[in-house]
Amino acid sequence: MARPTAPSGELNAEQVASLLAAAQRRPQLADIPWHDDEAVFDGDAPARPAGASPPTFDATRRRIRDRYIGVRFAGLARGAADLDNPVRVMKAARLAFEEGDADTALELLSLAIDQNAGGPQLRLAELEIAYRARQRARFTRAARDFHELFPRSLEWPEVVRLGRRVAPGEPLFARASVAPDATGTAHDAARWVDSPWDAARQLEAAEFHRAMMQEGFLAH
Amino acid sequence: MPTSGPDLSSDAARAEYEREFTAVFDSIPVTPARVLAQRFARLDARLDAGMTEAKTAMLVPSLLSTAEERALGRWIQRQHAELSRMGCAIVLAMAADGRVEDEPAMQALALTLVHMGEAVKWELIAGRSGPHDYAAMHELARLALERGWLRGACMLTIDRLPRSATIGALYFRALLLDRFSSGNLSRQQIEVLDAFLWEWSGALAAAHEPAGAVMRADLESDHGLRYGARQGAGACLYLSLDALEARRLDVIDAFHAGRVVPEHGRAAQIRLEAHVAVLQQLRRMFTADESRAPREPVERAEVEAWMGLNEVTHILELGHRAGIAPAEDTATPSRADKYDEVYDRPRRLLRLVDASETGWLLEAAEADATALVVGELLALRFHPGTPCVLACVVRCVRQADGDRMRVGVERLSHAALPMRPCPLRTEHGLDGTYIFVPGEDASGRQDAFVVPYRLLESSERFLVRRNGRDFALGFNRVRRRGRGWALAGYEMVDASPWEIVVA
Repeated sequence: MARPTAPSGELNAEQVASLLAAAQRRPQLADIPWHDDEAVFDGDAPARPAGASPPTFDATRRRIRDRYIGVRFAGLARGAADLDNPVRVMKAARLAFEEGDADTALELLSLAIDQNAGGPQLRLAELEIAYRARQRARFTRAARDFHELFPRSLEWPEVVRLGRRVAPGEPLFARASVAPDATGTAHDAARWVDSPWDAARQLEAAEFHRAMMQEGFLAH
Repeated sequence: MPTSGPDLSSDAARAEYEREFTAVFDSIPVTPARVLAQRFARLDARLDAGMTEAKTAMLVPSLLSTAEERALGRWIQRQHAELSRMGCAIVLAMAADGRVEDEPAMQALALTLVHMGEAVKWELIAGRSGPHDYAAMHELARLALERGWLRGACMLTIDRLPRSATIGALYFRALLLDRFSSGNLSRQQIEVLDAFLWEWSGALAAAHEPAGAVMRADLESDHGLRYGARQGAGACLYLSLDALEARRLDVIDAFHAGRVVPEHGRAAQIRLEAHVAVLQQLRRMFTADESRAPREPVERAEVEAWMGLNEVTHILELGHRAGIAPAEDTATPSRADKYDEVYDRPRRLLRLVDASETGWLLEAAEADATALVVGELLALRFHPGTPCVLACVVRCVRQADGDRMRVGVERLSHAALPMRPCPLRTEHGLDGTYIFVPGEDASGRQDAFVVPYRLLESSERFLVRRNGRDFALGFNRVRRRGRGWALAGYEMVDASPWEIVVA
């Protein structure tokens, strides 16, 4: 059996030695000092310890979370602080959903809910997008959480109505004592995420498009 | 198994390693299988220990020139490929020897699969020399299936760290790396992917029947992973995509909780952007959303290319100011050629290989290939005198048997809707010219600007004056992002609070 020969053009021994020597220099890779975080993720256990919420994180974990948000939601949020404003988050989520990226919209809302657990708006927005994206499991989980946190919410009948559509047969919605869905008369989904574009701005966007499409434009 | 060995950066150590490799390789026909397995494991340990630091260093491209990096990558890739080839021969010899117990044979098989995966990974730098030898990989899986070894766990040392994985997991690791090493992940990203796969080895279980969303390996084929259940007869193994998606979501949950997965090792030191990019790629794979538009044959043609945000902006600016040169005038210097005079830029011509609705496959010569990396912004001119089309590099596959590189690019602008260079001004008086990319919808909702990514890090509003009218806009979404640039959507905002001063 013949040992494979090196392809022509491959390095000779001296070249390999010099390159390997050059490569021994320690690279400066780390921008974030991950390793001063004593918490260890073992790959099997649930990633998020019960009861832990972002405000209780230590500095390293906050930094990693911040950085993740900035990278994952580039252009939508620069860090966790940008998720403190529910109106802003709902708008960003709606835009992401309108761009065809329901996963991004839902993840953004999930992060914001972790930070702002007290109010119903973000959870309703999550429900609406999960419904529109026809994500049955996500909708059901979010609905269960919503009902536990806000059992007297006036929005619950609407949640049930949507739930019966997106998750027919799901006991959470089937058992709920609300009026049955008035098929054909009810609107398709609630408007919890925010209204569509402002009509005046929409018109302006079309005018800007038309102006930009004209030839010869460059001047200030 | 030893966890350290001589540093292979020394000439003597490497020469000794190569002598040992050759001696083992030559002795395969005449040496008892069990002895071969021990020598194979020693070679594996020496290569692993000797190359760990060099492999880490190569995650930083700036340490070596592209040519040096490629040469060293080729050397490393060949070592792994040769070890996997040797491993195949040794495993088959052990399987044929009735005196060999299962455990050492499984260990040799596991090491062989590890090196197959490593060889695939390093092809990213070394280049692909041709179709992969899937048949050898499947042959090993078939042997493991017949002997009942697929779920057998093996202890390994990878990058000097102890690891445990089943034969089935190592087999699927190699196949998944193969699927992702076709040029759409960078060297850093493939390292992150591999780190995930080691963490998820429990989810890489080989199943005999499909359940839920699956990929399969056809054991009598000469191809890699395919989606769905097998139609017709033939042995195959299934990989659960649902299980992998659950692990992917675990990693995302970990990031939400301020943790990096894995927390230690080479991948933990790689920039977070690479982790996020890999998670996005994996989502597409695990949800079977990797559909590609059908390829269409094209006439052999050359395409002129400009690379990077600055070059692209300048060529659009000059082209727009000067007017596009008519096709019949291209033999003589045109006004658009002033760009080349000013910037002393050699023309970059790429060869068109094929096209689809979403982009093109191009081939670049070595000199032009250097600047082509995944995420680079391009302006492409397909015919002299026609407007440029905006694109970005999504896949780079270096050809190992030549100096050329195949580059897959995604179209970002519509050929019939020319881009416009557009000056934008902030309310603080900062000026810049950016690229307006019109969408097909007259409502403007699909319009976007290509801007430096850093521009989005502020919440500035921008003013544009057109036909005596002021428009104000704010960027509010990123549709595509690459090396220092972003294709950003915007919304119109109220300009009235500004004190608008028109120069």
